Amino acid sequence: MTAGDQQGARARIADADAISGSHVVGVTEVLGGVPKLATGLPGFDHVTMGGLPLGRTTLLVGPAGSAKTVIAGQFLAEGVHRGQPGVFVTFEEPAADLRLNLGTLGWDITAWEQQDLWRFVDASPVAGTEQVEVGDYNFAGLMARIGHAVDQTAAQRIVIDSVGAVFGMFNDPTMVRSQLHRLAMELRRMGLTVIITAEAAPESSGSVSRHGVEEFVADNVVILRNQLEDEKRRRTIEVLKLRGAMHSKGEYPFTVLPGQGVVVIPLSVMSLTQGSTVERITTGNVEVDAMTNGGFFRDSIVLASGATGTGKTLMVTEFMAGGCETGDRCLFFAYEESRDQIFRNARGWGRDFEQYERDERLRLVATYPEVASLEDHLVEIKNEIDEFRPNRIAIDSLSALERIGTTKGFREFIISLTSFVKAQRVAGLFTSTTSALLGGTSITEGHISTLTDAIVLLRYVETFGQVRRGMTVLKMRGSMHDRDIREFTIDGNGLHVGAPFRDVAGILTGRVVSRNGAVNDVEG
Amino acid sequence: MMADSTFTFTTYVDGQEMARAVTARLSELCDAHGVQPQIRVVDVGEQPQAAEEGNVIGVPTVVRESPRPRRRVIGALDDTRRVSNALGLDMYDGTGERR
Repeated sequence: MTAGDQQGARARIADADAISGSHVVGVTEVLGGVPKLATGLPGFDHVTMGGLPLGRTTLLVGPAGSAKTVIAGQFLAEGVHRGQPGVFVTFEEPAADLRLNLGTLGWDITAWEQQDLWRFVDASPVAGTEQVEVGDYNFAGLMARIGHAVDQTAAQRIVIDSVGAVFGMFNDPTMVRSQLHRLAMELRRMGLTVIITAEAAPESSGSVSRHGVEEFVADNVVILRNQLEDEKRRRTIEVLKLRGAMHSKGEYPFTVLPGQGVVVIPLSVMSLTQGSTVERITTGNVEVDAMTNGGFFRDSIVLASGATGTGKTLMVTEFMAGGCETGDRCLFFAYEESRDQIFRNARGWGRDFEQYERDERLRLVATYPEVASLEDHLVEIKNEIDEFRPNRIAIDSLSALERIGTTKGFREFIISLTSFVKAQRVAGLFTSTTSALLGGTSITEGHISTLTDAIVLLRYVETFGQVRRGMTVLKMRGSMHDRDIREFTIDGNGLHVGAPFRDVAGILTGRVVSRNGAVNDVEG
Repeated sequence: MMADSTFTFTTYVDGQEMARAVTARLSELCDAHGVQPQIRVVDVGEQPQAAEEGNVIGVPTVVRESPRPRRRVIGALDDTRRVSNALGLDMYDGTGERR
């Protein structure tokens, strides 16, 4: 090391020693824990309760194709955005490839390199260069290169991708292990916050990573998984340990999106801190407003459940139109019908969705569920909400989304969706299709019913040679509501609520029986 | 001395002690085959940029720059037979003539 290098190293050590407060940009102080650096992975900083511990080494373990490199790149890019330069040490992909691949996330890495905010140490294998090992060696060459890059940029973050590739370059794993250990000690001494990527070990080995590197490099271990479940791919991230720091336990699903990189879905980590309001909003139908004692609450989530054709989409249409007419911004996610169909149906019920869209009060997002994974849909929904800033959203239907994920994945989707929507303080109307035409429930309901503030059931009611429609408000948190099961009809103006069914029972179960054996009649 | 028996090497080392040992060992091996070495020494601590350009991880690393193709040996050059083979020195007899 030159004198200049040593001076740089000493300055960094001093920095590292001084790091006890939050004077470094982007450092979050955690109560009773260690200061942390934001990772730049949406959602992951919730799971880690602030990011990765400052000045520590985190081992990122996962199988091939589990997005280790992308995550590592995002960690460095977040540093750049926060004025903390970073060094990317690559043993696998050449720097030229990484510039291109990571560039698809919208980063101009070349420009960052010119501004000394980012450096590659390119230790990827050169094609056609074979290397023969004869006798002892050490990694002073690598250390000098890393030290140089760190000094040139005054780096605070560093990524080593991946240690598995280093083991592949040399014959003697014991030698590599001891050299990597020295490298890890040196990076720690320099006060850098480090991500080291490694390949996952086979389950049976009892070790987290191949070559057992976690034993000597890692303060923290984060595990990525990439599993096939019911023929659907599920990617998760789990914080196994975060030495001396609080974090959320368990696996969290994530997705990799073009232009955004890895997005972690933190599920129940989202805090339920929102207050509740007594403000009412119209359901878009005066008669339904009456059943709900004045409309839905401004910040409530309502589930409308019913068999196909019972009028769920109509309820949504009226809910959206009612919002547009009262000055709300309304966002409509349609997963069952095309844009044209929805517009045509709305017109048939006397609602002009085209005009609402032109007035920018309504946005309709019609997507076929199978085009993306549940995680991708969730992120799209969040992005649309962030962008459009609606007062109301509707999803028609959750059941259509249910079929593209696993049961577990769908449950996580519902939890994450509802907690996100609640945090936004918007009113949500979600629909769920029951599989049985008469009575019945859906899996969707099982997952969402406890998370919703109100449930409206729409049912076919068979009464002696006639199929009619019935509606009831099953629950409505914090409000009085009509407890009757009322008949309703649908015409060119929409939905009309009539009188309660009397003298019949079993509407909800689908087995309607007459109380007195007489022809069932609707009262009034 | 034949022109084609001149070999050029770059040796990447850490510190003067390693520089001396590797240079001496390499010269000794070349002598044994009647090969004339030209050795450029890069101390990675002083020239980290050169180590970057040479993609050096472990030291000592010896790169035979010419004749082409490049050959690369890492380690303390202990095993005479293997080093001579890896650097292509064993193509030459003791007088610098090609076998």
